[in-house]
Amino acid sequence: MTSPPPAKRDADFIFHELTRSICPDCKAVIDAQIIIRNNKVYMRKRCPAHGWFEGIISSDAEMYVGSVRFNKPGTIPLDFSTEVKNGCPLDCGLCPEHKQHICLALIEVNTACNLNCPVCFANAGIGYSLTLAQVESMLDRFVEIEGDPEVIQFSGGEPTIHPQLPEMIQAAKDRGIRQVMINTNGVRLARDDRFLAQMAALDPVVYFQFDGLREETYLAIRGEPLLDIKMLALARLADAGLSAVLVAAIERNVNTDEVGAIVEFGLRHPAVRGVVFQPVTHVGRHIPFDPMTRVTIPDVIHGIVDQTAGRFVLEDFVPVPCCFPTCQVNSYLFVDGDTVTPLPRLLDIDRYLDYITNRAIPQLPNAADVQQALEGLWSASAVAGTEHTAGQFECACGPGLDLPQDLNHLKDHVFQIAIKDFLDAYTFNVKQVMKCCVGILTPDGRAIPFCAYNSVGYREQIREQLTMEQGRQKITAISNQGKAPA
Amino acid sequence: MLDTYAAKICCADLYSSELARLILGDSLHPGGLRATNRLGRAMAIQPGWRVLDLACGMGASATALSRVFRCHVTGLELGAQAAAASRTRALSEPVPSNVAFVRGDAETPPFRSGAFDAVIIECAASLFVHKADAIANVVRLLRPGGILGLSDVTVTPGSLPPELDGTIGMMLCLTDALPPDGYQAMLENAGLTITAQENLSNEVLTLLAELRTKLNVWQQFTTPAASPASDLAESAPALLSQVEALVQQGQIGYWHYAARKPA
Ligand SMILES: C[S@@+](CC[C@H](N)C(=O)[O-])C[C@H]1O[C@@H](n2cnc3c(N)ncnc32)[C@H](O)[C@@H]1O
Ligand code: SF4
Ligand code: SF4
Ligand code: SF4
Repeated sequence: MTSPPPAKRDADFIFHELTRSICPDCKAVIDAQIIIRNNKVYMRKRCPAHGWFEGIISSDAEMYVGSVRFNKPGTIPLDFSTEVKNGCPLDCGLCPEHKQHICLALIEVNTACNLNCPVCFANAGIGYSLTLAQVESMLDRFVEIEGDPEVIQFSGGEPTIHPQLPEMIQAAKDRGIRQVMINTNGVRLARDDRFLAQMAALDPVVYFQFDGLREETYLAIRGEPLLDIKMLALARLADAGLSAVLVAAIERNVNTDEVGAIVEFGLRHPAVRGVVFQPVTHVGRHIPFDPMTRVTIPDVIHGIVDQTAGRFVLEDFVPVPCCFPTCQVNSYLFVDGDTVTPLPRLLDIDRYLDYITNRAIPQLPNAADVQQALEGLWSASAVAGTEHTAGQFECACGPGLDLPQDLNHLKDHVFQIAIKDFLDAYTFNVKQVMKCCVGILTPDGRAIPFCAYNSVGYREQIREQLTMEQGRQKITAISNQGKAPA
Repeated sequence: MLDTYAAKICCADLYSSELARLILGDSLHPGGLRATNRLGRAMAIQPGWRVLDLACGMGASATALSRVFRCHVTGLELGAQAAAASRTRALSEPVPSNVAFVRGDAETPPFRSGAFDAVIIECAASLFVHKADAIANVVRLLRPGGILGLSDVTVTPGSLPPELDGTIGMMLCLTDALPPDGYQAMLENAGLTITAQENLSNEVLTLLAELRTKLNVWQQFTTPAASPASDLAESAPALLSQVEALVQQGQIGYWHYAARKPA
């Protein structure tokens, strides 16, 4: 018996490109292949010590590959904080090889939190609490490297339980930083009248953790029933005249079926000016997950389209050019009563934000203004609910819309949807972090790209260092108390 | 004399008008608080210093400086509305600042000699009617070794087209602005030594871009009859483009200077 001669067969995937990533086990920097199989995109990589790993990075290859042309040239910051030594992502940052400036900076003012969520990329708990002086010097450094810094977001831990948060917000405003946000679970806003009044006077945009409209969702992601507290906090924000952006962490088998309802809820709530969807990042604390079926940006887009009864089409969501375009997509809606018009229906956004194929920008007299306005809207620093963003919206779409008479309320009519897929050890792509425009500021004057901070080990390093420093200071203070002055 | 005073009051009221606030916001100069902080750093303002903000407008700089540099600030302003607004601001901001406000004429400031470690004049010196006398007065208010921080719009003499001599020109502080070496000479003639100077002309371009968006929005939304200065709004876009071009050509700019009084 002779077996038939062996026949060659085709691989079941397309090899798309080679990039660099990290080993999910030991964080070593390793090569990674990006492959396409059944119209889905996967990252496949091998660590010499820990073997092969594979995980999905996009459930729609067409969207993934198509986003490349939205890649805008970066802007060089005024100053760098580190040197190129060990190569990306070990030199953060920013090192002179970084390809973009910081549009949106974060300061994590503490590690403590008044919740203990099973899903928490910051792994909130015991650690450090920054002093006002530290935060001020970080803000000064931010101004130094950016010149004209756009957005600062105070985060944590839970920033609202830091006793000096109001001073920190004021310090950012005093330095002329255009937009200040606080990133909160809303618990203190729901309960503390004095704190709410302080926030109302300072008027930051509230980045409000809001994962869904079902109690089970909160039980799964936050470990507690929080729905009532969330609703109360939002109602109080509306009363206080503060703007909120809902931030929903989306996890497979938990709340992927709620994305449409979250958008609808946000559109109707008087305090809410936008929704940000963030597929759960599997860093810090997270619930068990399968890297092959995690949620990616197209899942959320399809979810919104399918769950909102025809309000949206896929083309309403456009990649953000300032970061790497696979990191984030945005859409803007003009809301007038029950009429909701996505901006991409009024304007051929593709033609304004396509930087690769260079299709001619429409020959309108104000085309340059429109392009500039769109770049402002499709950037990581566009903050929903601000006059600035509303102004850009108006400039971009002005002639196409029947805008309301009252200028002061324009921002009430512009609604933003953003979907951000932060990287974890399975999806970490050096190509993306190298052009990251979201930076975590550290007290030693660095700005570390957010996804590098979370995945590569910077977070752990800096937390340990700051915690130790504070511990030593406390011990010195206590032991000095015992001694009488000479 | 009375006429000059009336003119000043009129100018001062222009800056505190609704229109000015709509267009400029609370910080009535290019670069906003960013530029103010830069000037404060160039002056090396120290914690505990007594600082005078001459022609402080809505008081945005004074309150911010007092918190950022941990100094005491006195704001002097002639415009009634602005003076009132700055007082309200200091009282109502949730984070306390160390600021007092006085209503009065910056050209005859009601303070004793040597009362201040530093004086700051942002986008206002060009509005002073008797500039040399006013600066001489500032020098009197400074302690020996004290420092003056001055920022202003600069204009090359003869470069302004007539259309820019009206309200818009005044609002942009163009009307009576000096060239960069004009401010230098003014400070040096008053016996001060310039320790730092910086070209912040880019901030004018940023401000103009913002103005353009605001006017754009504003025009879309206000019916001509209802708007307070519709003729202005109509001609504004063309004027803005003109200013933009002049900034790009270097005819219009924005500079700041730090200058020290001999010890
Ligand atoms: C362009 S604004 C600048 C205000 C403030 N320094 C700022 O930067 O926000 C000019 C200000 O100077 C004020 N002003 C003009 N002449 C003045 C004078 N002789 N005495 C006091 N204030 C005066 C005006 O009322 C106006 O508020
Ligand atoms: S992510 Fe940017 S800053 Fe960090 S090492 Fe890479 S290029 Fe440098
Ligand atoms: S996810 Fe946010 S609210 Fe939850 S524990 Fe972490 S920091 Fe606190
Ligand atoms: S934070 Fe992460 S997802 Fe966002 S732009 Fe940076 S690399 Fe991309």
